[in-house]
Amino acid sequence: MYLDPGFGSMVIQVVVAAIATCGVAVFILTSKIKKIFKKRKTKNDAAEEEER
Amino acid sequence: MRTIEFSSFRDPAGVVFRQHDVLYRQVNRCYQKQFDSLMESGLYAKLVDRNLLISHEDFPSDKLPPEAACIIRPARVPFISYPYEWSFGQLKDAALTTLKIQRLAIDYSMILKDASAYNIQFVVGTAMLIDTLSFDFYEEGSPWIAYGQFCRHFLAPLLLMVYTDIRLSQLLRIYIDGLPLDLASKLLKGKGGLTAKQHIHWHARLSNKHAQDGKREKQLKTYRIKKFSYIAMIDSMIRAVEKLELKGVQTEWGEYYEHSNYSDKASISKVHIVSEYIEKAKPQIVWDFGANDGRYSRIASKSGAGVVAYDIDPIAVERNYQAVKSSGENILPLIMDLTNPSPAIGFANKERLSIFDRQKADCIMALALIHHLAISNNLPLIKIADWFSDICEYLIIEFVPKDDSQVMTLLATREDIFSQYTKEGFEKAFSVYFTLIRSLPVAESYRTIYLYKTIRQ
Repeated sequence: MYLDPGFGSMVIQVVVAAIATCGVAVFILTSKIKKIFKKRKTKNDAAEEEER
Repeated sequence: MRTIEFSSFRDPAGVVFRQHDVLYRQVNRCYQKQFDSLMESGLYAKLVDRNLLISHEDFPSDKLPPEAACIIRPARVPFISYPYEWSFGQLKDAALTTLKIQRLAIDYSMILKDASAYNIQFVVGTAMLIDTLSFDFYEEGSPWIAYGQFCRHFLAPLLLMVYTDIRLSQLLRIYIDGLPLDLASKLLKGKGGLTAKQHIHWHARLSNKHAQDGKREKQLKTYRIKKFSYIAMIDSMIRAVEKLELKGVQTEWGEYYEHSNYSDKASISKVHIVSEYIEKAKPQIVWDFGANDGRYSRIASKSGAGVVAYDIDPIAVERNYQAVKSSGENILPLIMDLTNPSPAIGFANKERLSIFDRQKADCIMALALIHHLAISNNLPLIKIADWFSDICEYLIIEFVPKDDSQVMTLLATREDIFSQYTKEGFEKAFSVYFTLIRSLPVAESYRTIYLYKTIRQ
C-alpha cells in the first residue's frame, strides 16, 4: 500500500494550531482578568489604609 | 582529493565533501536565494550567537563546479553521533534546538524545511544544527512542512521514553526516518496527555485516514494556518517538550559508584593510576568504554583530550550528559552496548556510519568492564584483545579477577566455565596484540590496571 503520511500531518496541524491559539487566548484573557482583580485589590487596600 | 560524504545525497540544495580531512559544504545555485536570505537577514548571526547553529567561514574557490554558488567551511564537530546513541536529555535538547530555530526563523520569514534528528550534533555539551542548508522561505498560511518529521524523530521517541520505557529510543536505530506514528501510538497505549493525543495519536489516525488522498482524482484541499496560530503552535510545542521529564527511573547501573565495592583508598588509587597512564599516552581522542557517569572520562578530558564516554545504561549516560552540560567539558556521553555497537545503517548501509568508521581513538579506557564482556557475555579474552587492538593505539584496561566481589556476584548465578579468566590468562591473551607499558595494582583491591600499546604488523 502506498502511504502518504504528509497530508495527514498537514490536516492535524490545523487542529494543533487551533488548540494552541485557544491556549494563548485563554492565557491572555485570564491574565487580563487577574490584572483587573489586582487593580481592584490595590484600590481597596489603599482605601482601607486611608480610612485608618 | 575531494570525497563526497555519502549521507548528503538527499538534499539538492548542496553537498558535503571532505578535502584533506576538512569538511566543506557546497551551496548549490538552486539554493542561493535561501542561503543569502539566511546570511543577510541577520538570522544566521542570531542563531550562531545563541549557540543553536554551527558557524561557518566562507571558503573562496576558483574551481567551483557549474551547479555550485559557493563553498563554506563549517566549524568542526568533534564526533558525529546519532539519535539512537543519545540519552533522554540529549534527544530533548536536540528537539528544543530544532524548535527554537524554527521559532526564531519565523521572525525572519524563514522556516526549517526539515527536522531530522541527524541534523543536530553535540559540540561540547550543546545541541546544534549542523545543516546550514535546512532553511527555506516562510509562505504565509502554509503549515510547517517538517512537522511530521519532527514528530517521528523527536516527539514519538521522547514520549515513549517517558511514558513507556526509556529503552525504546533504540527503535530509532531500526526506523531511520523516525518512528512510525501508528507504532508509537500503539506503544503509548493512550498515555502521554494532550501532547501525545495531538502529535501522536490523532496525528497517526489522520495520517492513516488521508494516506490514500494522493490517489484521488479531485484536487486536494489546501489547509491554511494564520501566522499567529503557526507561532502559537511552535510555542506550545516548545513548552510541551520542555515539560517532558523522566519519572523516577532507576536502572541497574545508575548508582554503581554508590554501591561499588571500592574503598576510598582504592578509588583514589584508581584515579592516580589512570592519570599517570593518560599522562604517558598523551592521547588526543579518548574513548571511555563502560564510562558510567564519566568519573574517569574527566581525567582524560582535563588532560586536554576529546572524550567519547560510552555506557550501556541510559541513566548513567543521562547523568554524565547533565554534568557535561553544566561544566562545558569536551566529553560526549553516548549510549552503547559494546557487545552490539552501532552498525552502519541506511541506504546502501552507508548513510549512517558504524562508530568505528566515524573516528579512530588514540586511547581506549576499559575500566571495570572486562568481566562484563568475558563473563556476562561469554567473550573469549583473546577475541576481546584482538578487537581492542583493531580500534585503538593505547589501551588502559582494568582486570577484575574472580576474587573480586563484583565478579563473584556475576558467577553466583552461572556455572563457572571461565577457566581462562585469570590474571595470567588475561596477560597472555593481551600480549598477543599489545606491548605492555605498565601495570599497577589498585590499592585495597584484587584489581590491576594495565597500559598497553597496540602491536602494528
